[in-house]
Amino acid sequence: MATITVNNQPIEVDDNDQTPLLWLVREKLQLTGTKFGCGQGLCGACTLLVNDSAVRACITPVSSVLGQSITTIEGLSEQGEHPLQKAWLEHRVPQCGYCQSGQIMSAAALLKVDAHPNRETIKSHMTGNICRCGTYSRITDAIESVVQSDLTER
Amino acid sequence: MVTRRRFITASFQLALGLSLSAYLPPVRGKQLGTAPAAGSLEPNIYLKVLPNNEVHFWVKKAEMGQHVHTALTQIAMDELGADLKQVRVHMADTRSPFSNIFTGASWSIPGHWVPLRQLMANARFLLESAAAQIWQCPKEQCLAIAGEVVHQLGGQRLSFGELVSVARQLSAVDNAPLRPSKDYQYIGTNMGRLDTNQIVTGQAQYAADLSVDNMLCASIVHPPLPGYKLKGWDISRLKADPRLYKQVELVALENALAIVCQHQWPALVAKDKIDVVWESPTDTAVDDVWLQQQMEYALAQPGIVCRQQESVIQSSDAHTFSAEYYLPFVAHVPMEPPVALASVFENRAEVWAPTQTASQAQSEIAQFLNLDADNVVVHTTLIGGGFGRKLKNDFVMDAVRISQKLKRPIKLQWTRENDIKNGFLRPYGKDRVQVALDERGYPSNLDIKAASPSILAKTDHQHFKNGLDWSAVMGLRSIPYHVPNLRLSHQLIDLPQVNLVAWRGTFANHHCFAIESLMDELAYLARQDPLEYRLKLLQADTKVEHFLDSDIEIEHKKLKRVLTKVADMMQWKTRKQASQPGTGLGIACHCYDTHAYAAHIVEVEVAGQNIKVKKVACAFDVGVAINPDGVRAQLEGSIVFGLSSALYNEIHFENGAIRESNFHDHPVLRHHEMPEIDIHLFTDGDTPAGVGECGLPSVSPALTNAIFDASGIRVRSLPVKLV
Repeated sequence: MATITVNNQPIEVDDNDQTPLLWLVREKLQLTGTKFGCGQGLCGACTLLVNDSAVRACITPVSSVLGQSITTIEGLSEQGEHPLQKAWLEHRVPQCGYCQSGQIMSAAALLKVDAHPNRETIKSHMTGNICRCGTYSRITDAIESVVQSDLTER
Repeated sequence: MVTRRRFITASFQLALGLSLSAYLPPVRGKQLGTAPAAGSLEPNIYLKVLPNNEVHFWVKKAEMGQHVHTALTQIAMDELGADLKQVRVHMADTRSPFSNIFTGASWSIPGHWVPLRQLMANARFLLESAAAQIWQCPKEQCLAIAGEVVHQLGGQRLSFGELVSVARQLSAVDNAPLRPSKDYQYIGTNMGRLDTNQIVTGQAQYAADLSVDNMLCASIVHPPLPGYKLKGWDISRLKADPRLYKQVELVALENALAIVCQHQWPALVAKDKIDVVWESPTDTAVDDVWLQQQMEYALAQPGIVCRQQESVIQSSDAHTFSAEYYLPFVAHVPMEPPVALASVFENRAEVWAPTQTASQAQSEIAQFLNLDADNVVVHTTLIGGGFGRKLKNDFVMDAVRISQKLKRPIKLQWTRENDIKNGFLRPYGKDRVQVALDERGYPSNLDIKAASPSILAKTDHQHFKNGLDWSAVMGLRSIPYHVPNLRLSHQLIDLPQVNLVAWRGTFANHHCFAIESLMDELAYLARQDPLEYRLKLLQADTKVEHFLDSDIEIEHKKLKRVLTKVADMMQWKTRKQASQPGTGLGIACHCYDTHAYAAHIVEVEVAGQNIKVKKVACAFDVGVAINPDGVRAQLEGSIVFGLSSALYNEIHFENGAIRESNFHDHPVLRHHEMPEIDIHLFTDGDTPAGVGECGLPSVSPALTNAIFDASGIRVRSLPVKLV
């Protein structure tokens, strides 16, 4: 047995478990905010953080993240007060909503490596996350507003 | 009993401070409403006001991203005079008194606009009358606002809850006066989805997120095309993985093979380790070549006329133009692949699914299980993208069949491959256009023959009239341009080999692409500006077109207004004159049957085969905007959906199967390709138009017209391929 940390809670796992992380969080931990979209790492609906990097949980075996720290949308903040979540509300981003946890987690990973990305950087970083409803421009605006308010507070 | 899984879940949620109820499995046998009916005011089937001041509001429209729950709540609660903070919104299930739970055709808001306000005005009348009775004053002095009835002179207040017991005793009215629009608090206000907070915290529950006791998870293998029967299967590759093999159970259905397991992942893995053999219903191998032969054959048939008008003015010269415009088969590919949870018991069934047609699902299930419809309950979950795909309940019936066989609740998860390879498609279609031009270059004769398969059953007498498929000529029969001699016809292609369904605007996309490309081509031939050319052919103010037994009213001045506005937004005139090689602007417009009017201008850069969409502007006449920001969101979404389909989306058939399978071979528009967007709304009408579809059809021709402007290459077939 080995341990991984999910949203700051230690979880015991089989150290040879090939199950993708997606199904561990969705089924065993009942953290269903992380979504199944394509099963091939192509659409980004299952994006979560491993340490501080965005990872496609549908193609990431549990055994490949032993000892590491995983953050799902449910663990991003206590009550939805993460700046990105607030910006998503303010810009009224979601339409059907299904891809949005993955979008937010990808954006969170971006801001961890680059606190002040410009519009083009935001767009190219977010391009792994598909939205069929067409919320892309609001996502850009929402992320940019977080960047702007961080710059203003400096 | 608290299982270990539940315990882990609970402790996690407590640690995170989240609401436990968000994760609880759906409650079986829950009655309509969350509070006892006794003592509450229930003036109509949408509404229940409780003595504790809660207002419960039931909607029969599925929420799939179009913010329909928000908009209906805005309409109803404005008229009632409630405070949104006291309102709980519920999706009606099939036990509710609503007769047809159906979501589609951009009709939710236009269809509710008058009746819903009238019902709520009648309910408000009871609350205001109750206050008048308590205060012993004329009712005219009592006004419901923000969840209270306020005395207009004395300023006394009574909450809705405090008025319930008196209001319940009063006689209902059915024609109470509607609130004047100047008093609206919510209608016309920008609002996000009511459940946005749940979405951004991962707590919003879609069908895949639900579970019930004793449930098993399933995956499924479908035949390549409809009509195939399951003949057999080879599990040697599955047996090579004994640990996996012993976890799963196979369930043979007539036309599919299901794989069932305690957990989802093994069921998905096992699916790809089984080789299924199918029995083909026909010797014909459906492929692209065969399908194009069917198309050409159809276009050689006489067709059925859907609109014809003749004038004494005949074209005297021989200037003619002809062209064909083609749209391919496309899939919807919503981010949520089809999924359903079904519990079939001895004499009843209960289902949770992202369906746009819950009532239809209920009758299909009842018929299949030979049950009374009353013993079948269908819950509409949140829908993770519909676009017409989830009008069909094939995936729901899959889950029902498996559950019936195993006598256990089943959650069936389709994969993306199931969705693209085995789902329902928007049909292909071609419009063959022949035009005779007068000496000024305007059309004097226009003949359009369209050919396509139908999305409807031939038994659908509401939509098949005199052999003509009404839905297949949407956007064709309503062609807005003035042409003295006009003949529009349609030839049906019989295509039972392919599953077909509506797709955001469906055939309006085909015909708008043909008509708006044609206008551009004719303007070019006439050496006229494409905008001016269109405006010349939109002369009358209001035009009523007769179609079978109904009239279509097209307000040309509204179409002209959106065209002129979008041109202003993009500085059309000055920029067209100063345009550089390799850059282009294209314009197109559309009026939809729900009385919405759209015009788009697309700006592109074309270099070799590369197309960069730089900006898209849209002017849109929505009549009344219930939620202006929601309307904008639909228009933004239509631009993305339209560019996706124009640039990329196409389903190919080879060797009797669909070639595409997932996002690697079925690309869609991605974030880095997103153009700048500018939208203007006209909201000075008196009726809200439907907005889910009208903003889509003119995106594609505006794009291809821009490509022509930039490169001189005329695209008459989608998706765009520059060679």
